[in-house]
Amino acid sequence: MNAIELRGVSLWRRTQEEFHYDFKRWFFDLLKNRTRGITRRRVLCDVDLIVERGAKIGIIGPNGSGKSTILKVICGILHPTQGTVSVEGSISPLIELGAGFDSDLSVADNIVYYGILLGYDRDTMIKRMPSILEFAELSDRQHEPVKSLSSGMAARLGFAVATELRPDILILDEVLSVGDESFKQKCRSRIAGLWDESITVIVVSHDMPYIVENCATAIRLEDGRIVDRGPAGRVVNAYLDEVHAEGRDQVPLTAYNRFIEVSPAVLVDYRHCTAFVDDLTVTGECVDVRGWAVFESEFGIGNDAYLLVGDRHLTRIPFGKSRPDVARVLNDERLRNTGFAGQVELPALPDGSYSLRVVVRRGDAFGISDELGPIAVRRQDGAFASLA
Amino acid sequence: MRDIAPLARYLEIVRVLAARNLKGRYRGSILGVYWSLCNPLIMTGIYSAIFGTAFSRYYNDNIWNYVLACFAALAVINFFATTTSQALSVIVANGGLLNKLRLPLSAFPVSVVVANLFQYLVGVFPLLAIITIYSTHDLTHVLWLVVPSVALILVTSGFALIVSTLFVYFRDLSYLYELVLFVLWITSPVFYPADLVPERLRAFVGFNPLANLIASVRGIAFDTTRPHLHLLGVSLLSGMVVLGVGVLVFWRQQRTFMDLILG
Repeated sequence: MNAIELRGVSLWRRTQEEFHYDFKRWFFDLLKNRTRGITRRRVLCDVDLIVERGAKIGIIGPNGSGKSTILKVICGILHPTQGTVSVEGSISPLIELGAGFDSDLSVADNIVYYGILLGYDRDTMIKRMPSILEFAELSDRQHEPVKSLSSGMAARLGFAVATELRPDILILDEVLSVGDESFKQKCRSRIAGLWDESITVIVVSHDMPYIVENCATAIRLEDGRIVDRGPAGRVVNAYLDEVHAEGRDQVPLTAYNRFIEVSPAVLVDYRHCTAFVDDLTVTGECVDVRGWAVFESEFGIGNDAYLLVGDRHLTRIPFGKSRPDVARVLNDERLRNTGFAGQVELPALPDGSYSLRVVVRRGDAFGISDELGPIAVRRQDGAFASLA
Repeated sequence: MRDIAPLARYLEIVRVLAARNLKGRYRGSILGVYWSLCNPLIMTGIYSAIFGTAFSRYYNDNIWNYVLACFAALAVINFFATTTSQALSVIVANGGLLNKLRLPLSAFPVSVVVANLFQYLVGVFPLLAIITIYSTHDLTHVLWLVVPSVALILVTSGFALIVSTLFVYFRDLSYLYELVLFVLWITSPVFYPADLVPERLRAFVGFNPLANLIASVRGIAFDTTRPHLHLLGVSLLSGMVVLGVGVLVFWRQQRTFMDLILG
């Protein structure tokens, strides 16, 4: 069964250049017979997109390529000029969280207000209020107006309301950049909880590893057209290759001597990055990771390495810049080859068997390791995880 | 979870938007609604002080009759003016919301009408009813008051839809709309008796739907004879025409709205 069907969708939108929103000028232009006609621009061009129920699909492409527009068409905010759209099931749009709040109303009133605008009914929202407040960590502030909250708190509240009830179709538009690190982690695990067989997920993101980790397929938009579609890894690779090819014309790369060490350890190899994991040991609640990463270039902002736990690949435990107390990671940002080492504390996990992956990234370049482990988690009198 | 019928969802959205409108204005206090009575009461006081003695001969030489007539007219015109000026910018002001969630566009001007209607029903209407009972000693006249009130809602809703549409295209409309409101105000017999208008101009003034409404409210509230059905009929009919035009204008333009309002 298809959750979303876009067939031959084209969308023309009025451009606003000819438009000055001014009655006086319009009136005088009319007198002088100078009114300009309406100009329209095609923002989506013959888009065919069929998303099966339960599919996880990523949408990538440069800014202005129509990514958000396609989401708006799916949500029913914009209506296509040509073609048909059919959507089965409820949609939870997570476009810019917290945008729907009225800053004068209290937190509690806003939960009901925003929930109803999202399409839920009043009784449900009132019933779910305590759990929403608890998730947003705002239980003690429910009578304060939203304008007294910080922007991070408002975003937290928005996320809590929008994900409280399980939708059939989950739309994620660069939303995981809200809040502090611990809340981001909480958001990820809640989304991971939603991320099961039956739910359909559409992710729009510039975070390429996120797309590759979490989506089976991806589509790439360019000027309102779908120019590429297929397995997420291949589409992302092709896209980044092109972006890098363009970049090479502008920034001459210093000659790089790419070397790949053949190592018995697990290779982390994906995208302009080769790395290997020397050692991974599990002691109690901690995982020690040590390895090397080789990037094809020294360009790109920020080094980062993290551990993915579980088959949903959504629990990210950063070890590195965000945890300087316990980890030393990618010790030189400017070197193309650099070591990483860190100790990662495992999150509270239900008993079971989990796989681990190591992800290393610098700017666009990133690597995801093969699955390591599995580790077994058993919570008996403190006894914890062990490498099975 | 989300299988609410479209109409129920529409009404729920209107309700929550109207509640936001009222709460935003009065900070949640129920008494706050009665602030809305301040404007017509103060205006009535001022008009009575200035014009009361001069015009009372049109009202059986009783200044009290003038005061009541003045209040009745202000109740009508105040509802119209406040509602439509609030509705003017409501679509554009909620552009951010409309760009993020799928919401019925018309719910926004409609919610403004509903919020003001709530104020009218708890504030102005009971006062009008008391005045009616006081001057006619006839409870059935209170029931008759419902008819011009409905006509007033129709006219106001129609205008609300029209002006909120126009504002999407012309953002400097608020200045112009103040002028329009002033023309409607001055051509309605609010503080002067309708008989004062020269015979030649009465036909033109007849185009002002509010003038008929004021005349019918006054007819019911102060005239012990049966209400003028003709006048009520004309008021209702013009209300329906205005609303029809409003719905048509809004319906035809609303697809364009999303291209012209920014998130």
